[in-house]
Amino acid sequence: MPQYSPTTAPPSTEGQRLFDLQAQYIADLNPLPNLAHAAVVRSPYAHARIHRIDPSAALALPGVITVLTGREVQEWSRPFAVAAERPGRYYSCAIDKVRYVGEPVAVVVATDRYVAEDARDTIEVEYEPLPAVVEVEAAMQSSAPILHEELETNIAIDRQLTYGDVAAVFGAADIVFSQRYVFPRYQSFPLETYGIIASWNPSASQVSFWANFHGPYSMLAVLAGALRVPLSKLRVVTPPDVGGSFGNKIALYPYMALMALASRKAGRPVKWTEDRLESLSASSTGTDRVTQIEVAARNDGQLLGLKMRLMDNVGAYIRAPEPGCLFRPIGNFMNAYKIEHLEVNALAVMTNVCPSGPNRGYACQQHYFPIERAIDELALKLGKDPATVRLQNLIQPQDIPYRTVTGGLYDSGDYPRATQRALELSNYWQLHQSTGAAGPSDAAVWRGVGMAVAIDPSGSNMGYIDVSKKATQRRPNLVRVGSAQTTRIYLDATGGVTVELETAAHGQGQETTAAFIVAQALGIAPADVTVIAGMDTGSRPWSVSSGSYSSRFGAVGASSIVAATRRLQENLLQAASYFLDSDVSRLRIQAGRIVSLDNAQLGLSLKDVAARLHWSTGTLPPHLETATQVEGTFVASELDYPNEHDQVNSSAVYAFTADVAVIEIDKETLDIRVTDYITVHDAGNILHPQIARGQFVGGLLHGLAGALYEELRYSETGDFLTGTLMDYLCPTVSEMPDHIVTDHIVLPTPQALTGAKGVGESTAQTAPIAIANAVADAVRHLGLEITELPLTPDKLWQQLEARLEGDLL
Amino acid sequence: MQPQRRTIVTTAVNGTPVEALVDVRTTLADFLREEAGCTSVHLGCEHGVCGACTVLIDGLPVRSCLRLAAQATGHEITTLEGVMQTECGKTIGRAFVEQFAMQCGFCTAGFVLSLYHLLEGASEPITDRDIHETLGGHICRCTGYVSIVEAAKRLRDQRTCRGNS
Ligand code: FES
Ligand code: FES
Repeated sequence: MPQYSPTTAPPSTEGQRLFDLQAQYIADLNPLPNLAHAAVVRSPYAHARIHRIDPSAALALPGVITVLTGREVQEWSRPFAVAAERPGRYYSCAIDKVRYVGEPVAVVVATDRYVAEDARDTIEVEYEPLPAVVEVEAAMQSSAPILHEELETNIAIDRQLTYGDVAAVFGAADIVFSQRYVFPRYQSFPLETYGIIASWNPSASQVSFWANFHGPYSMLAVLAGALRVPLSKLRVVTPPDVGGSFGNKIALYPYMALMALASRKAGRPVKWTEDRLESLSASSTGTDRVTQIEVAARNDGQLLGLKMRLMDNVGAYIRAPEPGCLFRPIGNFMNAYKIEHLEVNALAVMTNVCPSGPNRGYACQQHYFPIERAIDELALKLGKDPATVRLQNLIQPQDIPYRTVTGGLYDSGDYPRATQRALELSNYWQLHQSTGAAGPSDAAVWRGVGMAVAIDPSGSNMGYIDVSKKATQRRPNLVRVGSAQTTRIYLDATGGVTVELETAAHGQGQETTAAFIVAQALGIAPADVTVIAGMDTGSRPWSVSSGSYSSRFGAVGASSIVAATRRLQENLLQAASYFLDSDVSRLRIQAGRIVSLDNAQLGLSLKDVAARLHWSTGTLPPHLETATQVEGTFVASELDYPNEHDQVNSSAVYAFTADVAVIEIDKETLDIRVTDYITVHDAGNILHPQIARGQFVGGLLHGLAGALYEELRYSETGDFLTGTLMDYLCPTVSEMPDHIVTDHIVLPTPQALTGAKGVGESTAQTAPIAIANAVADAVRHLGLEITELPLTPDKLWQQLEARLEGDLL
Repeated sequence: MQPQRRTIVTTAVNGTPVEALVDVRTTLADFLREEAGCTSVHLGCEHGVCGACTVLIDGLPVRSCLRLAAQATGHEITTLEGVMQTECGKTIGRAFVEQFAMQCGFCTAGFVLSLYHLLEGASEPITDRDIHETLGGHICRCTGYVSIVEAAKRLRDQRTCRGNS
C-alpha cells in the first residue's frame, strides 16, 4: 500500500453530506407508514419484586394504543444467549423482578411521543423493594443479596487460567508485591442516543428494524434466538449516518427485541428514541473492574511473572458480548512485555447496576491499568525510572513475530522505537527531573509526567469468547473462530464505480477511506467512486463476524475492499485483453485507463471497457459475463480456537501505542490539568492521515474522560446518581490538553491486505494510565497513592486530609 | 388530566414563514424537526448542556431543547439549513470538511451555529480565547476538538465572514 500525505488524501465524504443537508440519522427516518411511538416504563428501584402492573390509566388516555409488559415478553421471547456458566435469565424487559434502576418494566405505545411519555407516568407498578448490592467485591460475599436466586450466587464466571510456571518465578523473584486497582464505570457516550424503528410483520413472519445498531452481527444471532425467529426473517437497516457508538450501540439489541415485541402487540410499526437519562442509566457502560495484581521481578528491573485476579462488575445481567471484557485481550494479556508466566483468575460478577458492554478500548483499558500502574510502582521500589523498566522489558524487534504465552501472535512492530520516540517528543528525561517534589517550591502547581504503553488488538477472533468455558466444556462441534468481512463493487455502464460497504460505520470516515482505496487502485478520482454506506442485512452480504467493532476496519474491513478491488482490476485487465486481443500480462491499469506496455497507442479507458462489458453481454466469453460485479472477502489468517491450555490468538493484528502525559496539579485547589499529551502509534500503514489522527485524538478524549471526569455512580443502595450532564461530566475543549502531539512509525502488518492495524481504540487505552501515572508522579512526595480512577480534586483532598490527620496523631 | 391545549406558532425559519398548530408544550427543537423540516437540529441531551440543538433566534445562539415552540412566535430562527445558504456558511462547511472537523457529525450543526455567530458578529479581532469560549459550550464525543479548533482558526484567519474582516 502506498503512503498518503494529508495533501493528497481526500476530504470527508460524510462531512460533505452533512453540509449538503443530506445526512440521515435514525431520528430523521420515517420509513414506514402508520408509525407509532414508544416510551419505556423503567424501574426506580435497584432491586425489587414486581407484584402488579396496572396500565389501565394509561390505556384510557386518548392516543395510547397499547402497553406491553413482562408477561408478553416472557411468552413471546426467550432469554438472550450468553457465553457464561451461570447467566441470569435476561429478557428485554423485567419479568417478575427488577435488578437495576432503569430496567425496562413495560412499554407504552401511542400515536406520538409526548402522549406515550404522559401515559408512561400513569402506569402503576407495585414493587416490593429488596436489598441491593452494587460493588463487585461485596456481591461476591456469601451474605450478599442474590440477584438471580436460581443461581445461588452472583458470580456468573469464575475461570482460572495459568500460563508458564508461575510458582517457580514467584519463588525465584527478588521482589514480589501486590496491589489493588479499581477501574471505573463510565461509557463512551455517543452524542446520539439509541433509536429504533421496529416492525413485526405477522404475514411475512418477519421482523424489520431501522436502528442505529452497531453491528457486530453476531448479536443479531442472539436477537433472532431471543425473538424465536430464523435469522433470515430478521432484517436490520442501519442508516448511513450514526451519531457515534464506540461500542456502546452494540447493546442496542435487547431494545430491538423489546420494540419488536411492542410492535407485535401494537400491530403496527413502533419508533423509539432513547433520552439521555435512559442512555446514562440503562443503555450500556464500560465494565468497572477491581484487580488484585501481584508482580514478581528481579532487582535489576526484569519482570518475571504476574498474578491477576480480575473482578468484573457486569451489572444486573451478564449480556453478550460480555464476558468479552475478561477474555478479549487474552492473546495480549502481557501487553508488550516479554513475560512468560501468568496466572489469571477471571470473574464476572452480577450486581444491581446497568449491564456492561463494549465501550471504546473494551477490555484493554481495564486490563492494562493495573499492569501499567504496577510497573510504575515497581520502578519506584527499585529506584529506577518507569521508562527504563518498560524499555528493559519490552519485546524486542528481533523477537517478532512473537508468540505470547497466552497465544497471541504479534506479527510486526518495533515497540522500543515507538516508545523512544514518545519519550523524545515529550522531552521526558529532562522533564522527569523536575516533577513532584523536585519542582520549584514557589510554583503554584506540582508537575508530573507519566507514560503508558499498550498493545492495541484489532479484529477480534470470535473464538476468544470460549475461553470463558473450561477446555473440557467447550463444544467441539461448534468451533467459533475467525474474523471475516465482505465488500461488493460494481462497475456501471458509464465507467462509474460503486462500493457497497457492509461495516455499518458510525463516524469513522469509512466512506472516505473506501473511495480513496478504490480510486488509488484504479487511478481515478475519489469523487468518482460512489460508496453506499449504512447497512441492510436484507440485501447485502454479511456474516456473524461482520461489522466495525474491535478497531477492525483498517485491518479487516478495508482489506475486504482491497480484495474486491483486486478482483475488479483483474477483470478489467482480462476484459481489455479480450477487447484488444492483447496478452493480459502486458496490460496495466493507469490513471483510469488500461494501457499496453508494448504499444503506447493501444489502450482503453475504464469507461470504454465498462460500456463494452455492459452493452455487449451477448458476445462476451463466459469468464467476462459477471466481470462488472465483484465481491471481495477477507478472512483474517492465523486465528485459532482456544487450545486445551487456554491459549488463543485473540485478534487478527496487534498495533502498539506509547504515550506520555504531562500534568499539573494546582497546590491550592488540587485541580488536575493535562498540559501535554504525546501519543506515538505503530498502526502499520495509515490509510488516511487525517482520519487516523482524528481517531488518535478522539481516543485521547475518551481516555481523558475516564482518567479525570466521567463516572457512572450509584449509591450504596443502588440509586443512580449521575443521570444528567451536570453530574456526568463530559470534557469540553477547555479540558483538553494544551499541547497534543500525535505521531506514528510505520511497520505494516503482513496479516492484512492493507498493512494497517487498528487506530480507533488505541489512545483510549493508554490515556487513563499515562495520566494516572503522571498524577502519581506529581503527588508521590505527599504520600498519595493512585489506585483508582477517575482522579478528582476531592479524591486527592480526602487522601491528603487523611494523611495530614495521620501525621498529626 | 387537563385536555391538551394547543397554540398557533407563527415564526420565520431560515427566512421562510412557518405557521403551525402545536401542543403548547412542544419544544422548539421538536417543532423545528417535525414542523419546519430542519433535521439538522440534533438532540444530544435535551437538558441544555451538550449544545447539539443550538439554533439562532434573531441572530443569537440558543439551545432549542430548552425553549418552547410557542416562544418563537414573532422571532426569526436560523438553523444549519439557513446558514448553508450564506457564503459564510459555505466557507465554514468547506473548512470543516477539509479539516475533518467532524466524525459522526451529530454535534456539528451546533458547533457551526455558534461559530457562525462568532464569525459573523465579531466587531473586535477574534482571539484564540474567543474561539475556545465559543466551542466550549458544545460537547463532541468523536473528534477530541482539535480539528474543530483548527477549522475555527482557519476560518478566523480567512476572514470570509462578515465580522472581524
Ligand atoms: S440537546 Fe439541547 S443542549 Fe443538548
Ligand atoms: S463528531 Fe461525533 S459528536 Fe462530534
